[in-house]
Amino acid sequence: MNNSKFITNFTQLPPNLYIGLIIAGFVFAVGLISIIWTPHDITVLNIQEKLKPPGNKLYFFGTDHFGRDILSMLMIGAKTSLLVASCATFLGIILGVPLGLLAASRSEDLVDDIIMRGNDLIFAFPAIIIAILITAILGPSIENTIIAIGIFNIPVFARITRGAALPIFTLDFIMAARACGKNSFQICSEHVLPNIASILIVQTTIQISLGILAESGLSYVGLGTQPPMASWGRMLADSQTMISFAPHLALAPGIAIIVTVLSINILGDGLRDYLDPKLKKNLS
Amino acid sequence: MTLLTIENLSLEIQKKEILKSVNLKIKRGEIFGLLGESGCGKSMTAAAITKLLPMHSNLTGKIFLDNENLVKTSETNMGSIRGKKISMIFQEPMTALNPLQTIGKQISESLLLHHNITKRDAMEIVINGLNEVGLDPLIISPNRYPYQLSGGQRQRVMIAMACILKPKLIIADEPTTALDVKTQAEILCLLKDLVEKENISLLLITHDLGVIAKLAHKVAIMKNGKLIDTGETKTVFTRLSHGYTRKILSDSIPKIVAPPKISQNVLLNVISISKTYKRKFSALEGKNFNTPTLRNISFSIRKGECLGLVGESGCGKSTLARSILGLESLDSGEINLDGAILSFVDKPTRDIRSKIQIVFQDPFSSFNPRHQIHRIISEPFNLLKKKHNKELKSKLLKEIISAVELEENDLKKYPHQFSGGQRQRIALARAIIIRPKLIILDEALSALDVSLRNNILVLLQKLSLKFNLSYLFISHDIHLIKAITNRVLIMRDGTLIEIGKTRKILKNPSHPYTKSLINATPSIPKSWIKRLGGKS
Repeated sequence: MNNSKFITNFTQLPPNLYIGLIIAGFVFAVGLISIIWTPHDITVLNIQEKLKPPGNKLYFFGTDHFGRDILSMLMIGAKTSLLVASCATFLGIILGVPLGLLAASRSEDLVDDIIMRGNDLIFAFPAIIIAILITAILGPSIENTIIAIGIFNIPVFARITRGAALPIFTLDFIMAARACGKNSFQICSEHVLPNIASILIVQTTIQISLGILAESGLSYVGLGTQPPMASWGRMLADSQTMISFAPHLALAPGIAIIVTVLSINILGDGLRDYLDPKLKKNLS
Repeated sequence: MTLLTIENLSLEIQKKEILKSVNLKIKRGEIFGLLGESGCGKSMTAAAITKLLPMHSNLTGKIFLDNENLVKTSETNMGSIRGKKISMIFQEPMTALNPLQTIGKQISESLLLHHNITKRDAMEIVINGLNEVGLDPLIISPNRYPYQLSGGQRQRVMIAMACILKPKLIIADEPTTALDVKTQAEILCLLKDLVEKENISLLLITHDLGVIAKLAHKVAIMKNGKLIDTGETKTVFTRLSHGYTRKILSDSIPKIVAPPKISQNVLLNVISISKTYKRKFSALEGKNFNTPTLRNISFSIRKGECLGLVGESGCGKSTLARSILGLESLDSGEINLDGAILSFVDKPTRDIRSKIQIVFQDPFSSFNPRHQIHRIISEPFNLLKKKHNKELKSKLLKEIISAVELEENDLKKYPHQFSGGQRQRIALARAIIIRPKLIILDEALSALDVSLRNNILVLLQKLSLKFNLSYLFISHDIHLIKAITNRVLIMRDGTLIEIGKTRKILKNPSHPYTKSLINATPSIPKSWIKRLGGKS
């Protein structure tokens, strides 16, 4: 048996982990770069340069109907998407995981019922419609988009945490820890969380990719990111009327969304293969 | 007449030798025992006979079943042999049955597969089959699901499933290991009857010499994939021609450790405690039925004493253990430890808790797999009021790891790097590191091989003397109870039915339940033990 917990030989890493990491890392890097530098300023309208096709020397992916550079907008859109999706997922984790652990540790009494039925209540509504409702009430902005998407991540994480933690709670080492006077918080943080971390990590990647889709959806209906900030969903919405004579306007953000979501999903698959102890046994 | 002949059977899995030229013969209507420690290749022999081998395995040699060589047989042909000519009974009745199918459907599955009959006809045969294994179809209908049955009933269903096609050979892989003594006795009886009635051959794989002594006509002893000794059960264990046979026999008799000095001072006093689990109210199920788990239980443990607690599964043993640990709130009664009350209205103080620790049965789920041993063992330090500094901690750790006869560099390893016996030593180390007064051993030796048991028994004795420990020894194994405890409690359905000196109770039990429990325990014939004692 291998002594170390992790596979040290990199050639044994699952290939989808590589592919996912490279593509998602690239999108992330582009988003980071956009904070300090973009080829053009997208807040400046340049009507003379409008609707330039891709392949242009100055505008690599062309320009839109206001003459804004598509490449710059894509870069800023990457930043927006990842920011919103990861903040919303983070919100789901910090509220959902403790709730799930609480439900699992008190699975004998009413606390579990209250938490899980509350979860069901949120699950009962279609996520995107409630997100629209929330942003409609609170007003469209990045923060409210994060809140709207984040609320739907809470029950996802609560449920998956509870499900994974329940069998752990029945194991003898939990009883041993209780016999050692450890309180519920210590037991959860020292014994339960490390043993369900791999499941949560994989779920995080899934929720991030779903968050990107949700953000695009909200922006598409005009309730997400507001101009002059760029967002992939907003770009799709703007391009709608011009799709017959300037298809690159729709293709660019559409492909960006597909590639990003796909790469994060592949990354999640790779992580699952890597963290799953059953599979790891076969590898070593 | 010989039914199964195995000649020169060798098995390699991923270049690792598992079986080394095994030879054996099983006659018709014979019960053939295959005995050995865990990991010696017993189960792989069974897998080789049915050719249900893992991937990348290389099987050489010959297996003749009725003059048909199974090693050469194609997979499609094997499919018609499995179930029809050879069938299997597994150890764990919980996982061997599909929880989503009725037992009738599962039993009839092989009938429908091998015979061209209607479902209605099949169901009739199933009902007959259930009758044969002692399940009255009027009470246990074939429409029941596995979760509605007890462990013993499930094992009966497994046997019905194995016998339904009237096979020539049944392979039973540890068929009674997961059951308690009384159910075990019933199942063994049933298997014996079936073999005699139907003239079936039975390959009985087990590590329990008592079971072999009770049932098997012939026995083969296996070690590291080799057959060490074969022959008539009685001859093998009376001639003791092989050192390993002798070792297995002597290991199987728990070493009686001398009772330590018991002071008259009472350490733990349990005064008429009761506990009823309140089931969560469920709107769907309606009314709650609460059955008491502990009824009016009183006993005491003296300093330095080892008190045994015997009972079937589900009799409340574990609840009692948890109550003493202070992890369970009681309905009434009181538990005193060393004069201090373990209060159950408020949580017991850490100070009192630090005087009681527990060792569990399953050495595989007792530790967090992600923690190193030093972290696992030092967990009870949490109970101490005064926090130890680093040097003291590592000093204590080193001391304790050598006390349980492990090595210092084991502290940096992870639980999966240890064997079952070593893990129980680690569990003991965790239990005694803060010098408690009482240790609860909840079936702590049940999951171990016989060869390891005696070592741990001796270790327990040593530790008791060294650290002034008392034990509450929970077990269903009468032999173990006899070997280590001074007094014993017999428990049934949440009440104590007998209490007294171990030897006295085991010799003349006064309660009929105790009697039946002792009679149900498979034991090794005295004549064998005599031979062993006489020679060594």
